[in-house]
Amino acid sequence: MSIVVTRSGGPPRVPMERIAKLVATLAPGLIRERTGEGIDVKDRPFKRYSRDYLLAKTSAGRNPGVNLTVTNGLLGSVAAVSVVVTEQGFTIVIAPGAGTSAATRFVDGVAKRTGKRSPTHSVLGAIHHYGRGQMPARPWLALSPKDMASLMRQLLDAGIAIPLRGR
Amino acid sequence: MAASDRSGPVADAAVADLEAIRVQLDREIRRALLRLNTAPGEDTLVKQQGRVAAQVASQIDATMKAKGLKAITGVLRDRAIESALAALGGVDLPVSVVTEIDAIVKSQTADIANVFGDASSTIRKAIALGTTTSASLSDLIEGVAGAIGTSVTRAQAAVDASVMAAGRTAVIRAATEAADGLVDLVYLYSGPKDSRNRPFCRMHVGKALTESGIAQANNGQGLPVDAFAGGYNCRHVWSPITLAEARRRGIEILE
Repeated sequence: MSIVVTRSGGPPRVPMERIAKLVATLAPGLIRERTGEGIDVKDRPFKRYSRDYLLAKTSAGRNPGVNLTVTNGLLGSVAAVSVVVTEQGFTIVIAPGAGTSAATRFVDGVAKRTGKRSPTHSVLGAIHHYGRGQMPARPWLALSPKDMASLMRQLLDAGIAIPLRGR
Repeated sequence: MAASDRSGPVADAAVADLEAIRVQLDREIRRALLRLNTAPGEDTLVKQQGRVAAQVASQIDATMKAKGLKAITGVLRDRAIESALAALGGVDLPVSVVTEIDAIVKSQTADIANVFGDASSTIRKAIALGTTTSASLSDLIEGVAGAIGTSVTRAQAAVDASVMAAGRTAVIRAATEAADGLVDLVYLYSGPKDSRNRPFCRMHVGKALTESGIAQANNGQGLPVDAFAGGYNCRHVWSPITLAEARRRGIEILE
């Protein structure tokens, strides 16, 4: 996903580069928190986990919520991977990383490391986002309307009022 | 902002190095065991236990010295720097952050060395168990291979922890720089809340800490909370949020 700001009117009081850095600092956490609470990009609850997966996950002492999390490697990797500032505004691309986590499997009520690595977080994120096979789509990688409102409020806290657009 | 296990081309090179070491160790130790088993004049593994264990331990040392730690250290540093760069949105890393990352990598490299030091004794135990229970040679080899695999998994965990720590450190430094003079930030302790949480994590998850609160917090493991959060291999990360927004949302703030 990306956040785009188009400047209009006079020069901003705060340099655009600093505004961009602040947005890049704040936005990934909003996605992480919302997803961790089981809410999708339209501020609706994610589709439920299958009964078998839920049973395995809860038996291993993990949070029963649909939070796309076991090791937290995926959500923890979400970052502003690119910040481009131009005369017209800035564009920030937010995405999961291309790294991996230790692959785990639920065995006898324990999440055990298999010794292998997970798919890259970017691939894992896309699988969750778009769904695959019997696994339903759980769109998570974007700023939801509530995320966007929170981001705007936080910028106002810093005395910055600018139009943001997520896509 | 982001935390932890992100990467690029260098991404999993440290892990790949560890896997290469595992394969090499496994192969060399199998060879050592097979060679000893067929030595003339010695017909049982029990008689050879001491020699086998000594050979295995020296193989581990030799392999680690030859291609292990040095390669891992270099890649780990690159990986940690890369992680920090991503957290900063690709801007230049301040010297202070690089220094902190070097310190993290140094301590984690020592951890990885310790893992392989422990591996030596773990493998000796596997050999002792195999020989005293009169297990077959193939069982013994599998037991040793399992012990090597466990050690490599532990070393991988040390690599992961190091990269996570560099990311967390960079997030805080980047946020401090971004907000300087503009707005007060706090850091949400973000991540899973479940029965696997350590007491420190259970106490902090969903709450926000000021920078001084983080500096004063103690995870009971002797590891800095800004880099390691609840401790070694912690799943939690820092999500910066403005102090005012945290208050609006009713998030408890620990100073």
